Amino acid sequence: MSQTKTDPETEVRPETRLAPPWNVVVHDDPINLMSYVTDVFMKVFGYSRSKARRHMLEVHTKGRSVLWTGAREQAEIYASKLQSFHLRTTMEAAE
Amino acid sequence: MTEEEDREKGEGEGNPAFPVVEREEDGALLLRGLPQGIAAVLLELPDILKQGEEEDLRSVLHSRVYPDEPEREEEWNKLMGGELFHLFADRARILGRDLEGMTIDSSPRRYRVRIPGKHLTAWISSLAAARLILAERFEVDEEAMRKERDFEEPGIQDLVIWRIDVLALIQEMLLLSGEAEGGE
Repeated sequence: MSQTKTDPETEVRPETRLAPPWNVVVHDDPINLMSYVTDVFMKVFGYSRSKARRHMLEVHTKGRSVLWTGAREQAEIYASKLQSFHLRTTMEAAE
Repeated sequence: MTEEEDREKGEGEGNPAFPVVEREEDGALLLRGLPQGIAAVLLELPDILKQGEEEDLRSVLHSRVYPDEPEREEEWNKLMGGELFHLFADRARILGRDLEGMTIDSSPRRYRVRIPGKHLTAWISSLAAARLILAERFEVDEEAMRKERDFEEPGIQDLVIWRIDVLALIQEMLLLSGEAEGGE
């Protein structure tokens, strides 16, 4: 069996770049109940109550929490679900 | 008969003196023991939610997803704006239909409403929407929500905050009933 040798210096590889990840961010508002926000996080992301509550408390104390990071398409699905429950939701490119 | 006598009579007959949520065999929730004031606020819900269809309130219900990127925001609105609005309107219609079935409870001067199990999400999210609409319309901010309620000589905003609180009570009760059953 013959083998073709490729000169590593002349080999051309197509450049593949992964799409940059996006953050799904929920912001604080003075009206929605803490218990409601926790419940929505559990419903939308399937998070445990303790994890959902941690995020809710971060929203409450710091004004925002990154709920999920990943591909833009999936992030938009999550963002639309959160918006359907009237939570202040934004998307931002992850650093 | 005074409210106190009502309460005593209600308690004496095993009826709820305060609103309660009971789960029926088919998974429906029975919200009962509702005093007139709370029942009246619930019956206002379809009109409050109707206001959410107005252009200036839509952004309160569905905030901007890409606030610093106008092109992406426009694209998002084309794709999702209509769908989110229809979902909101559908949920409001479901709640409105359930409220049409509100009846007098077995307790004196109390009311009850039956919520089918599959309507629970519509109720909980519509209650959130109604609270946001009231807050926006009457400029109820964080400070207003924190201040002590004036029940002696309530102003318009006090009455609005009272409604927001009543809706929170019902929302909390429904959330707890869902929690007790391990969610929907």
